Amino acid sequence: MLTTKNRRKTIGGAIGGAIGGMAAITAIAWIARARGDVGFANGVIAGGAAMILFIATALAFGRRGPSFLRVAGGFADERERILALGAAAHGALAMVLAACGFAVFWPNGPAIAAAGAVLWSGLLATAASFLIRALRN
Amino acid sequence: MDNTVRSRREAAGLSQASLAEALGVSRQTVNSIETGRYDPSLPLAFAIAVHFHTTIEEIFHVDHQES
Repeated sequence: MLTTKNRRKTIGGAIGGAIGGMAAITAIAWIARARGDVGFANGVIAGGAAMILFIATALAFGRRGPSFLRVAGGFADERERILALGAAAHGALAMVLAACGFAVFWPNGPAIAAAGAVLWSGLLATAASFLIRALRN
Repeated sequence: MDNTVRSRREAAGLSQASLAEALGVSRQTVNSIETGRYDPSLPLAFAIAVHFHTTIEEIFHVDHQES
């Protein structure tokens, strides 16, 4: 349960994390724009803003929300922590397999495609694993 | 593992949400425990037993079909 002290810590962490996240997004976007990667900079700003909005939603409404919002907001109980840990492990495994697969089947492929394949496989495997195991357990 | 959480909760007139609130877990976790899909940790099992003023052995039983 959230005590007043824990709630203060959570809110403090959220504010600190949001400021740090916004600073990181701004710095990466600024560097990318200076290098002429305008599309990448715009993507960083859009993706970062969406992520901050998602985390803010999780903090505001996560406590009584679905499992993935409770995990994202830091309100997970023991069952949800086990689900999140397993999902993270599956995501990591998927990323390793994607990287190995890319290296074997397309060794001279563009780096951006490899990065995309690795990140998306990890994200999708984590989400799918969490969803399926949350429904079954 | 079999358990009598659902019958005890209903006998106490509690909803899954209110039991979850009292135990500090999610309603989904209470539902998973009641349906036998999730076996709680020892601290949570103790918390459930204390909530119903009984012992863990009275609530949780080994499912012989499973073992």
